[in-house]
Amino acid sequence: MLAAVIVVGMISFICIQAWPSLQALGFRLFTDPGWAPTNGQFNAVPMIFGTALTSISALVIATPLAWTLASVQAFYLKRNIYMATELIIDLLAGIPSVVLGFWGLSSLVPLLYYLAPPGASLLAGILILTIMIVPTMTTMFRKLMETSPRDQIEASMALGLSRRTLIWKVLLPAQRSSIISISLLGLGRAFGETIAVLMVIGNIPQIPSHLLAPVRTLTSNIALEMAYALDQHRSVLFANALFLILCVALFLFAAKINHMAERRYHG
Amino acid sequence: MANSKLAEISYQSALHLVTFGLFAVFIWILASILGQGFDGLSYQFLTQQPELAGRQGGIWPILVSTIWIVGLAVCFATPFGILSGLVFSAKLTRDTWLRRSASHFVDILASVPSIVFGLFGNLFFGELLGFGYSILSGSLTLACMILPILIRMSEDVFASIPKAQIDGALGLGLAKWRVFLHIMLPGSITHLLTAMILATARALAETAALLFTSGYSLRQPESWFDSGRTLSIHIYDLAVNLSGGNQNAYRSACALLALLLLINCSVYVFRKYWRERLGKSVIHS
Repeated sequence: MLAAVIVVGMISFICIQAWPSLQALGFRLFTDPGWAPTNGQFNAVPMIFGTALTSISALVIATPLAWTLASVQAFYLKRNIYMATELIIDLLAGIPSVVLGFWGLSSLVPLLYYLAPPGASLLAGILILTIMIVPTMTTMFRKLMETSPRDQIEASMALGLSRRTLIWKVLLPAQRSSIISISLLGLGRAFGETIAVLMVIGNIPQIPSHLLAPVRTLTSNIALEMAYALDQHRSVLFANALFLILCVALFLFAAKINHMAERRYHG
Repeated sequence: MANSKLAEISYQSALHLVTFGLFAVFIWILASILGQGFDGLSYQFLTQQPELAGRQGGIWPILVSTIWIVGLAVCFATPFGILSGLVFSAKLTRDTWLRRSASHFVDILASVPSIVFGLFGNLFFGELLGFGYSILSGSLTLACMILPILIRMSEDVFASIPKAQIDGALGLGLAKWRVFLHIMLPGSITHLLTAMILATARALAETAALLFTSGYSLRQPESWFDSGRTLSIHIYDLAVNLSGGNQNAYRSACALLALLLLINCSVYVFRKYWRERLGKSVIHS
């Protein structure tokens, strides 16, 4: 009950704060010439691009990696090595995002700087996000592998299928829907990530022309400008937050609906 | 035949390559932070006052505020979390729309980005309730954030208590609150404590939600209306806003990781200890 009260309260507070700007600016939030709060220009499109590009690309990289890792863990590793990898992955899933961001800032960004200055870029953000979501997704995929129907595995073993065929031809098709759900959850997490991305991404509000250009995400926009934002500017930041929360809720519901459809399909 | 064997072997080596690659990256991260932070991480570093805005000196006041903020957050969230879990497992047992919508709300709460929690906390606890930038508003915000973890975990724990025990106790004429206090709580206390510890770890790792609620102050907090920064915010501030703070940022990151490791290890030890002590206890985990 309390959860409902908090959620409703939070969304309504943010709506109330965002309302003046939504009313005054309307579609100017998407059509202004740029993001220049001091001149009253509030185009959020570059930030939306930044958020979408970083998290979707991170997801595209992370999903196959995490799935492969989980399949290796579940079907190829010996018991004690399995335990060790499990421990390491748990540990990594628990690394605070600020620590990861700091690592990115001090190790990854200088490396990318050699490739093309300034180093803090879209690519750095994608890599950091990938590193962040791979451990959690691996854990979820592993649970999925371990709860896959015993009879399917035994039947394919009895047929003399190799492990590769078992994983790719039997388990993958059966898991397709669950994989989509898990990726959507991962996408929600990547969308909402603030600090780690903020630290490596360069924070220039522009639509990136290439992989090594600095960008800015919605979350980092809020984190950076909230401290000094006033009046309309502040209200626009709340509108950004509203947009974020709606996106994340959308992903969550997509995952749930997908899950429900799957269950109905299987009776 | 030889062809398929070759394919199998190359597939397996590709798999192992990917796995090793990933673990190499992970170990690189850990090693670079621990390696550079371990140098100079001493008792003095933990207990001294910071100097030059944290570039030099220790982190004592930051540790104090961290413990305040995280401790208060867990204290605020735990009773609500456990009670909500109880409601979920005892009252909302059937799959009604009430249960479904309540659990949707918990899921949404769990997936809200932390920066949005920060905005909400800033607005509600900071401005509306007038706590300003303070430990109190920071910990209340964090409490909202860790609530879903506590609700979900306590719900699972309560649901796994054998129904016969509860029915038996009720059949003997015990009041409901006595059943909760004397039958359900003792049987699930380890798991509830584990949930609390995991929630603590989550709260410790949080930065974005605290930026606009607990503030940045480096001073040692004197009451819970003072502003104070946690270790995570300290690392963020040193790395982003100050130049020349890297060494201390590494050390603080190292301290934070050590703290988290300690918490995680305590979960493992704790579980093992209780499992041995209780033997075949009420709940099989």
